[in-house]
Amino acid sequence: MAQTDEKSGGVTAVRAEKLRRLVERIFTAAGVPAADAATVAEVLVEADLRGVESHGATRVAGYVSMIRTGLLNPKPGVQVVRDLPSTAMLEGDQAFGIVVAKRAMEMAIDKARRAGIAAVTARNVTHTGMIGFYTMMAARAGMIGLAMNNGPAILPPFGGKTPTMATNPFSVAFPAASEQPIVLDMATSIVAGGKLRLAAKKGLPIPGGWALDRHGVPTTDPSEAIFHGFIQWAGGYKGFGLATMVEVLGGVLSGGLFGRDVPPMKDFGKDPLVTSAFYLAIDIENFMPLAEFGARVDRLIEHVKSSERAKGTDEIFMAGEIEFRRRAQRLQGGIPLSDVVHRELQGLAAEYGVPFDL
Amino acid sequence: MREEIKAHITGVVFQITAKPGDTVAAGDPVIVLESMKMEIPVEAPRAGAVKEIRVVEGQTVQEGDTLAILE
Repeated sequence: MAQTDEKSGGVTAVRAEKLRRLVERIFTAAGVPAADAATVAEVLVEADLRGVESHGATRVAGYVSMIRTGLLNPKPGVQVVRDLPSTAMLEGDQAFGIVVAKRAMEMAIDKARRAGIAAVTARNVTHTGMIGFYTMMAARAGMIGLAMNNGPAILPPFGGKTPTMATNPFSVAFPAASEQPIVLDMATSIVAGGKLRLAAKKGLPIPGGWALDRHGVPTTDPSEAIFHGFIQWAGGYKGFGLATMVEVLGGVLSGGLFGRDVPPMKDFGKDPLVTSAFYLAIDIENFMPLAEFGARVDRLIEHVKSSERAKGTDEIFMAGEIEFRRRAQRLQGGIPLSDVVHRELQGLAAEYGVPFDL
Repeated sequence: MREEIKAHITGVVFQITAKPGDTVAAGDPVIVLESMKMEIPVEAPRAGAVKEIRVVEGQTVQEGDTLAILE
């Protein structure tokens, strides 16, 4: 559910379909095979539609730069290194994390159809985008989806001050019957880095529970946190515990890099951005008819939504509900693209001779 | 000896942490780029004096662009 409200300057509303086509063309021109370019564009624009701008078209310039500097392999030799009835392991060859993630979840869904439950790991890929995309694939297939990935060491363990793990996100999605699926998609850190940058730009203090200074002590100074300190875990040791789960399933079990062996983000550009991931699909029909499960989820949603509201609360939301609502609005009214991203895309389009028609 | 400090990756200049005339040690950040939603320090490759800063905060730079000159 990471969102960035980091806007510098204005925004332009653009049609999702136009944005998707432009992004696809830029990646194709940058040497990405057509089908993969389409997948990356689809996942990025879906993030923008859901309001997860931090994982949307803002990433295009970074991804293109990674291709040009050899840090992202646009034509990778992705290998299935183990393939069993209910499990598989993929070696990503520094591919687009998005492309390999989609393939891994497709494999998990396909295997779960036959085996009831299936897990697929994917190691040594680059940035994986909004991971809720992959769990929603499972939900659309009438399954429960779980996804998680590790990444460059940014945060220290709870009580420490040596960066050891990434903000290790995970997502789980459950299909409903008449309601939208429940989609939890969260980092295990308490806040996105963008919120610290925004506070620093505005010269405002941050809440005491957000970050630590260079000594590992809570700070309200966003600049100290950004340049010398660390973001805190969500829920303290509990978030750190969840991040450890993600690190073991995504990094250790996959045979990929984990902990401090992942190249640190501060060397990004010189070293690649490496992540490894875990995808799980559970076929609900192995437990009960999908319609019955969906009706039970609907009933749970009803229980939650009909809760007596706390003072000052207008509405209670399920995980993912705000994003589904925003998606519907943005399909109609367009995606508010920041001027910075607009300019970046315009520049890339000019550079690659791609028509710019947002 | 004059040396160009270049961006390794595309990004937006988030902060300029040194100014012309400053003495820096090897590994000191001169510019901080925001790329892939993270702060990426661009460090002085060796000790020296900052002669020139070629970028402004908020500017988008591409990999290989010269950000600063070290002497």
